[in-house]
Amino acid sequence: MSHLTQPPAPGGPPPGMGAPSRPPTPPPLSKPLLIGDLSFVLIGMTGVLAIALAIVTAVLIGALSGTDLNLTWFTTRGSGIAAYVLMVGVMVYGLLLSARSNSGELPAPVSYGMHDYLTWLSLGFTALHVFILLLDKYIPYTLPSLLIPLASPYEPLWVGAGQISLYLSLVVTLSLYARRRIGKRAWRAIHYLSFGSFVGVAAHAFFSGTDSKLFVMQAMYAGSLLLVTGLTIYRVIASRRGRQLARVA
Amino acid sequence: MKHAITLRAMKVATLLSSFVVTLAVVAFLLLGSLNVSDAAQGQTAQVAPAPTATAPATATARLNVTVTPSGSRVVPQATAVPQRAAPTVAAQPVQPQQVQPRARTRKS
Repeated sequence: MSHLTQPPAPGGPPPGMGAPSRPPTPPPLSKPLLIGDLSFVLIGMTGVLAIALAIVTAVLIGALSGTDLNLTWFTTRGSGIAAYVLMVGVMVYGLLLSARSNSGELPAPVSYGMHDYLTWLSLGFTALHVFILLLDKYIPYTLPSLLIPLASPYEPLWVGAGQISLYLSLVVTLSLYARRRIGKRAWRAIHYLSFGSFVGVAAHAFFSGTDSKLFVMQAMYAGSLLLVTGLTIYRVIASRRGRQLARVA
Repeated sequence: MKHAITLRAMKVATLLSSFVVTLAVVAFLLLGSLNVSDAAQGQTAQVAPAPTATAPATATARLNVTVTPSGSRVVPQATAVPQRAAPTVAAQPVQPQQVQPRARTRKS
């Protein structure tokens, strides 16, 4: 194994070696099914199938009982709540990352990976939340009324807040991929838009959501706002402390 | 490698939880709307008399069913109208189809 520790000569084999030998490749690690790539496909397909099954069941129940079960409206509410919870997770992981509070239980690679993953998952559920309204029979949504802010026929102001927040989230998310071009300072400035996006989403959820009268929902909104506010204060304090330590050093 | 497994497990759990939350909300709302529908139908059945019932010779029960905009309340109003020259008058059956529980002004 001594040849592995010696630096190879440029343009030729290492001294004393007739031919370059490749390092032994490690045996392929078998990924368990529950946490392998296949799991995401399986769970994603199961989720889509479950929602499709719910739609078929609701149509059948509605046809048998003679009632109109507006499942598109129910689905948009469910996916909207899921997207909001996921966005809270994005904010939590992002704030923990920027505060550099990487403890042993929550290392930086996990925080970064979850921050990135939750961002896209939240956008996916937001897309479901938005575009399933095209099938809604109660409120005649069109593509322009879904995409243009303040053009919604239902609660235009608060739905508009959600639409603007979605665009802000998209800008923040896509700026990650242009980070080298725009520079770290510009990327960080754009990233601060996520606070405005979160506030807009919370206002959209609370004021246009018909579930906001429920105590459970009010507790969820209050708890998530307190959590994000508390972590923001913690991040500011941690940032100041880091600067002071840097000056002393 | 340890972090990679943790990360994958957390991602899978999050994906699963998101679908579960969505479907739980949908199921909750479906059950709620079905209960409202059943309650409206039950109240309608209480109000409606038997189609073969015969009213007394002096009066006919006329039932007016009023549906409020919320669609979940049915207010029965029974008024007795005296009849003079009708020895036997059959009661007018109330058709349950007259009740429209879907008349809503705002989504609930």
